[in-house]
Amino acid sequence: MSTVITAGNATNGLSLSADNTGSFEFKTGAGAGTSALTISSAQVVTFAAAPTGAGMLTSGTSVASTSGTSIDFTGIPSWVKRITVMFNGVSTNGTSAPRIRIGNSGGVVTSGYLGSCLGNAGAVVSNVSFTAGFDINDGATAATTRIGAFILTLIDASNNWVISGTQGQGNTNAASFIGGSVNAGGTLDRVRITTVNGTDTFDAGSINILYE
Amino acid sequence: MTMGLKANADGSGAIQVGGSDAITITSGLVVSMNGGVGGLVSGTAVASTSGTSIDFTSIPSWVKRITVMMNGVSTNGTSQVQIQLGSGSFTTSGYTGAVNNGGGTNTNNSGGFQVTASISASDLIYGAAYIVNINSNNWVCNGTSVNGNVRLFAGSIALSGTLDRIRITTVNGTDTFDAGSINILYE
Repeated sequence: MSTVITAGNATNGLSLSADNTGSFEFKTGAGAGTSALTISSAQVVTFAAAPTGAGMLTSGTSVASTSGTSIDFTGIPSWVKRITVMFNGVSTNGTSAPRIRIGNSGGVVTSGYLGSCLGNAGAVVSNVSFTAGFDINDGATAATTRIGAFILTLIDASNNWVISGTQGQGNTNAASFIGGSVNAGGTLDRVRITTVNGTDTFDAGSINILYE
Repeated sequence: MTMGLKANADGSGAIQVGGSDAITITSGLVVSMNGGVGGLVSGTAVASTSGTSIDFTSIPSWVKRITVMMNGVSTNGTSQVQIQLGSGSFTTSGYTGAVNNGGGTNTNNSGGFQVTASISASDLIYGAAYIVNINSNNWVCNGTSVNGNVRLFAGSIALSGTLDRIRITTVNGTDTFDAGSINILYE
């Protein structure tokens, strides 16, 4: 047993029962309530469901990158300090490089990106700088499939974000490495994955984000 | 001392804890933390516009991962930028690993985690280093950065005690920072 706090609901009022075990149990929901959170006498916290909110690692909703020219993740909370953009077998129908952009409530930022991306395909190495988005220099073809993760971190209170990440290709011996930064122009609330030309269409794979 | 529980029974089947609802437990059993609660903590961004080193100290003992972020960082010379860790004082030797210049050339540096290659005074550095505790007081670093071209780096260091500080400096220790900003996240 524990000291149990049960939320009031339609059938029962708030209840509090105490014992001498030094542990807590919080119950919510209908009727007698269901245990949602326990704190043991050894200070171990156990959740019945995945916590959400500031500091918690939260998954977005995975999107099949099988159509359209861009994929947006919106409604990202204002407290987020790190976002991981994940590619799993992402492909397009063309030769335009993938592009990651971030934005605020006013829209997606389309300029001011700083940095470059190293593309390494066998013995061929190239560095390509970018300004209009975090462009992933991967020698894109319609056959290119992309697996990787790109980590965006908030460096200061002025909405400056830094990117670092790596991508491998599933169809050939190649990899890409990126570093850069951009100012989100306000509190970041969205991430867009598109292509440099903006017209190539996604035709395979999936994309998701983690934020925390 | 205050009572941190809002004991208002409204029939919703939910619980709120803390004067500003710091913790909410919904009737669906989901626990939500409100502002500032949780493991990912920002340091204070430092303008890397002067001095030969930038230190982040008083890092808590429970930290297992640190992200060092660089935004347009520059120095006035050609000495490579490196990261050093410490416990009570900074560790200046014993680092293993290398930085790759993006073209297949690797450079080893035992005095710190080197995060740049072939740097010049006009280069601006963008990127991040991820430093994680692998066991005991052993830490592993990896990351990508840009100074001119993309650089890749990885390494490890065994500290003599619990990590409590990080320094960003140059290999020669005398080149001066003259642009950009640096910050850390820890968790």
